[in-house]
Amino acid sequence: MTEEIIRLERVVKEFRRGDTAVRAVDGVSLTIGRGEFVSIMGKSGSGKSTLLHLMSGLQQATQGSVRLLGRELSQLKDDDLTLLRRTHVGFIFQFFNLLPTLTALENVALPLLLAKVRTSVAEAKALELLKTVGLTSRAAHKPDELSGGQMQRVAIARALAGDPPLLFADEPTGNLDSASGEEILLLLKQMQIDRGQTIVMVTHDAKAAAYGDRLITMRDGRVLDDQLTGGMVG
Amino acid sequence: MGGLAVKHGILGILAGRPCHGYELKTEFDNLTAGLWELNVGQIYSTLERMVKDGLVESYADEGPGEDRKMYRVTQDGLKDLETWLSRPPLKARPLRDELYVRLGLLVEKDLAATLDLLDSQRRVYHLQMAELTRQKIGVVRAHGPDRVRREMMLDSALFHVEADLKWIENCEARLRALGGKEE
Repeated sequence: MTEEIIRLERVVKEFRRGDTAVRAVDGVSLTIGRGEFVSIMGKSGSGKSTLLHLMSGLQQATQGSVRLLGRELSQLKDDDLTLLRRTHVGFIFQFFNLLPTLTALENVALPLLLAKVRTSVAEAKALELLKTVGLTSRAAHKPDELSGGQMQRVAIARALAGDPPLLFADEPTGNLDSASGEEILLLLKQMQIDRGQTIVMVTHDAKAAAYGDRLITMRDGRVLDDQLTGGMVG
Repeated sequence: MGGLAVKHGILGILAGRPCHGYELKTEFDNLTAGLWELNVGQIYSTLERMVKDGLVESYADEGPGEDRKMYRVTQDGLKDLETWLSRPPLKARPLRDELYVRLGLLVEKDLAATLDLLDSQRRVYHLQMAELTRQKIGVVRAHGPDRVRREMMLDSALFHVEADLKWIENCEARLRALGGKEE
């Protein structure tokens, strides 16, 4: 395997439900290397989304070790964790999570502005990213003037704004029709092929999962299967 | 059934241009984006029969080399092709799968073995789906003139594998509900 980006060792995540503890993730160990496109599949309640949240530091493990880019997440202070996430991780969500009052360009530039990048530089970078996702002509549009597929493309551009080594996608096609969904998956695949982007995607859809080249199947909080499904596409 | 499709596929290709026998294999594989691959033997035996039936005729190519036999379609062949293309829609494909027999033999006897069988079959389908998706990504990125045809063929295969996977999941859920927790 190439350079290691994520390492999980015997990770457990418990939630309290009344008096009982429910194990959403139950002893998962795995590593993900740079440049991989990993799909995580499972039914709702299988622990797949919790696993993604643990990997990305959005949630803390109850037991075990989560290392992201060599840093042990449980040992980071909140500020450091936030900084690590902001600078090294991009997120794409099912419901796009764009700010409705900002234009596409401003949405993409926002993470850079928050990171104190100069406005002119941030906007130039945002424009370049909108070009990459094929939306140059929509730069001045607000989210409600865009289709679902276009909004998700803006979200991808925003996720890539800080050139994060790692991109997390949580059901990125879950709210799209199948044609727009395919466009989004193809775009993610292009990011992997052309830019070497590492991608971890959670989905319940086998056809979406097939865009990855490694498939992790979750059941009852455990890894049921971890199979390599592909080589590189030329 | 399959034989008729092979015959008319070849007629259709020859209606476009005369071909050598070995070219027909590539052209036929291409027609269905690789979903239906023929062996050269099948091509030549089909050609032979069609020559006998007067649908195709062979002639010697002018160029150098040994076996330069070319094939072209006749008027009768064209008529035959036209009739075939305008025939009523096909019957639904037969629902027949070796997996049904294996599953049928196991399901009431050995729950664990049945779940294992479904598990390993699921892995195979995921691999197949990833391979088809790779082909599809290649087609889209290549932007060739045959993109629509190839995507349509690959989508057909993908939808079928998707259905197989959904069915496997459905079986697993059913059996796990029956047999309690199984791991």
